Amino acid sequence: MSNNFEYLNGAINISAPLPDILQEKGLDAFYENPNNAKWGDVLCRVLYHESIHFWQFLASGYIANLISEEWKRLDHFEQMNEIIPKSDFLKNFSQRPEDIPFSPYELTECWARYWDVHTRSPARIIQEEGIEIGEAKTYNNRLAGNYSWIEYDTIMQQGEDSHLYAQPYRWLLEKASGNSYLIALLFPVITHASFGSPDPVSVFTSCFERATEEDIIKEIMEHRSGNINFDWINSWTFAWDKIVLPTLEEKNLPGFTSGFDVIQRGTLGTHPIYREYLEKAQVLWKFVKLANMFDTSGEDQNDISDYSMDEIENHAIKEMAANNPWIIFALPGQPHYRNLLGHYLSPPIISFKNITYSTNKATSMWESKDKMDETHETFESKANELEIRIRRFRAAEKAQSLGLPLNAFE
Amino acid sequence: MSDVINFRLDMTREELKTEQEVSGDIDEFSIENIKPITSLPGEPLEEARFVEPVTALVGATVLYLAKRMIDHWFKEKEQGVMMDLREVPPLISRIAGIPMGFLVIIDKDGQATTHKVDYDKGDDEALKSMMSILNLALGQ
Repeated sequence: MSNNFEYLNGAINISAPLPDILQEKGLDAFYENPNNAKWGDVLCRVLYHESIHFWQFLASGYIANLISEEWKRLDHFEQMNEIIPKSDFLKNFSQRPEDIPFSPYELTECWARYWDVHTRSPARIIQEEGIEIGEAKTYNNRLAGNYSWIEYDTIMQQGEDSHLYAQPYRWLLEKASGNSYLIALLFPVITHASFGSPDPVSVFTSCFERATEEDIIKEIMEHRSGNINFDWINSWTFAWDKIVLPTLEEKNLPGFTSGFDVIQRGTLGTHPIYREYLEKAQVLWKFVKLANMFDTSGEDQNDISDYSMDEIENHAIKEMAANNPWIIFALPGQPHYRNLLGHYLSPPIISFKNITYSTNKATSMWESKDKMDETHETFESKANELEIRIRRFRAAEKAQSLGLPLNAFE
Repeated sequence: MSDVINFRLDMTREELKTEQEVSGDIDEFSIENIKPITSLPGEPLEEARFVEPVTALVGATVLYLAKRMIDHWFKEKEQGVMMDLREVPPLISRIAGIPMGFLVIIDKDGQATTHKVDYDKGDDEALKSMMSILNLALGQ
């Protein structure tokens, strides 16, 4: 059994079992602490990685438009019993013409790997995958005692199935002259912005080229704190204003379009599962605003020196989310944001080796510490119905590609 | 011993490991020249799956191949099997996106035929049926 994310219904397959404790508590506990040894060695990377693909879709107008096209093709097949050829827009997703360094597909994989490697720890993955790292390369640049940039860069270029995701990272290292910190800091904001545009690879490469201008590097390196979680928050506005917006303006491209925008305005509004996530997102938006209100209510009575660095960081994290909720999607590896995504926007259905876990259609404002509530309606029946329709559509597509009748596999 | 046929087998690294473990040192099955498949997925919106696809040159008797298909490949996996006889040596793929439970044979002229694999009928009957399909295909 492989691990995968099905774009057409949001279903995730995981080759590992779901531990009893997570069956009792629900997946909030996983998203709160994906690296917990109690979950075993597999879940941290693969469940988190596949969840990121789901959140990419919700945040990205580009990906949502691809799914929307597939949804139209499925609908057409069901209505007319014929397969519409894939458009260039769909085909281009996984193609790498000579004039671009990598495909949008590779960039989505690199984007998901960026976060799962960061969360699992590259030092650990190197051990788990048995990757050799040169003795001379392990000495420097250790990040907060966890892992070094060398280890991170190694995994991002040499891990298992790296041919699917390494090219964008190699390109970045070359452009940034090996400045791994610059890449680590800007990758989230630039990738997020790129996939909110209709031309992600072009926006991504242009943004990074702009980011390597001397004055921008200088500004970024001067504010390096040693805490990447804080630096992501602290540099967000600068990166957006000085790198992303001028690039979009130069290319005459519209501002950010999210997956939610596409669901709301287009064909995916008829999708039995995805349309429900519009309501779920509203609950999340309300929560982050409320959390920030509570967080700031006593602010004017204290001096900043009364707060610890941790408190200031936590405050900044909540305030940023309240002012710009998209940062939650751009930083799904930031622990607080990962919690929020896991609780409010968890993938609709996840099939583990031993059990199928389905998310409640309705979302509660507050995190539940109790056993999975079995009284609420989940996505299970809708996901299962959709699964049958998708299998039939894919089988017909395959049959057509082999020159067989559309019902050859029925 | 029956004649050994040679073909290229596409599968995941995990499946390769299983085949190596199951076959051990027997003469009916051999695997060599294992290489990773490094092309990007052909289908848009196909996700990476955390698997490593590989290709290898395999030598096997038809009986052994049919038994593996009936006992394991069709029972345990998410995909069916494709046999492409246009290629030299013939290609057998377990990762070609064939729907579960089907064997697709593409003959030398590019004509595809499907075979629903009824492995639930009982191993002997299913095995005989698979042997007959494979002998016919490979005897072309």
